[in-house]
Amino acid sequence: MEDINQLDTDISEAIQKKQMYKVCSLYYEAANYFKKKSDIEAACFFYTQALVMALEENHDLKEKIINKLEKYGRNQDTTLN
Amino acid sequence: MNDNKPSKNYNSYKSQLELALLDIEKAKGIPNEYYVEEVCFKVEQEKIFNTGWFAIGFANDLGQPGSVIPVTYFNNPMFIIRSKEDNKVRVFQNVCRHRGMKLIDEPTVLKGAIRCRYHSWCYQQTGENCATPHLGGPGINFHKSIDKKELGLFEVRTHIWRGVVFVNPNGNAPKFEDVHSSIIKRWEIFDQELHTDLLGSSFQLELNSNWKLAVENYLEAYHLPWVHPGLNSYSKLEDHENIVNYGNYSGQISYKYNPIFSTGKKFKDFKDLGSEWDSKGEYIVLFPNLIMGVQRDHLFNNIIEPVSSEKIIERVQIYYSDIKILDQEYQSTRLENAQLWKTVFEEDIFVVEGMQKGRHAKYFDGGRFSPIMDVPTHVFHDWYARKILQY
Repeated sequence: MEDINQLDTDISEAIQKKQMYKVCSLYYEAANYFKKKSDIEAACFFYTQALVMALEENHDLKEKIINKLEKYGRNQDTTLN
Repeated sequence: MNDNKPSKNYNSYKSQLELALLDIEKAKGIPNEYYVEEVCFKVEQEKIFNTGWFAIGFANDLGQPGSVIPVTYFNNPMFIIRSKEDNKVRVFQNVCRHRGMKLIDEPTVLKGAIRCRYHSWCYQQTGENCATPHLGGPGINFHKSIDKKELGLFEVRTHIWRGVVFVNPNGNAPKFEDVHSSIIKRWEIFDQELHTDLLGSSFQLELNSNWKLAVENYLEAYHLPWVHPGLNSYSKLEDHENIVNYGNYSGQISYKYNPIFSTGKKFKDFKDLGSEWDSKGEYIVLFPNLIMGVQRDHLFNNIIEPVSSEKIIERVQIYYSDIKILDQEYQSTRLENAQLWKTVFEEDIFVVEGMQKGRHAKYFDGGRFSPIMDVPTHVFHDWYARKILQY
């Protein structure tokens, strides 16, 4: 998704509806958006947001997110459920 | 004024409590203050509930892996969880290691980690800290000064016996099996599979009473002819015998257990009990707060939760010997059995609450015991006084 404003709206809506599995996917999407723009700080912020939702939801993206954060040196000693 | 600090009057309560330690023919019961005063409730919290083992919940309530139930005893928030990782039941302090936020507000089934709603620190269901998001700044999830391994949830020492979850909050009590070896041995014949359905075999009562009065009322058969006339029609006073163990439990035996249900059905007996259990039921309180009953065809546990010095919740669960008893075929018989016990416990409410009201009578001195009929109650008062006075 290239429209970051739409993504922002979608995240807010999903949070309001407590659709946390979806929130995780949307944060991951936002992180990838900023990664593509080479904004690693913003990307890692959103990977982190996605991480906590992934841990809570036991999301399929969990390992991928951890790998991304470890790749950028933002996570240490991550333990998985 | 700090309510936690015993007032100067507290020493006079203690000296009155010493009278409970006398021989039953001379003893007086626990004095009023221990039933009505907040300071005494706080002393009990420390000397009985924090340092010993007590019941907080039923393992069966956590049927599914990931199930979690918050419980609060004496303002101490905890939660019981059956972890998805290893299916083990554990108890943790219900608090995030970051800023002390309460983690679990209502019973639920978790899909994954326990996430604090404040800053999203996450914990595995086995208690390990698994995420400290943005700890080192935005997008940086660690900091050299913070070791996540040291910031797991506080686990509460736990033991499960007969489907009941017991805790020892300060972690220093002798092992549960040692503390309660006598009753474990006495009832080892009932160490069999237990089956319960949460809807038809559980109920809850709320009473305006101190927890000790619910204990005391259950311990003796003396009141049966007047308070439970229905029960007395098939289990007369003379059919009862005291269970006296100057230790951690007491109660009574009935020698006339013979359940008859309107459906004409009978529950299957537990295996290999022997003929002595054909018509026997045993009813004890495992001090401080677990009411228990065993009969050949079903058992029950009743956890007394002290909400305040003058309020309790009783939670009852009934167990059967065979999973087939949970079938639809037995549903109305199970409901009838649960209703029978509910009626018995409800019949006791007016006396338990009546004693609570009476405990505000200024000149009541703790009362005297029948040396024949009140021995199990005296066992409890003796146990209680030793714990509070630390003898």
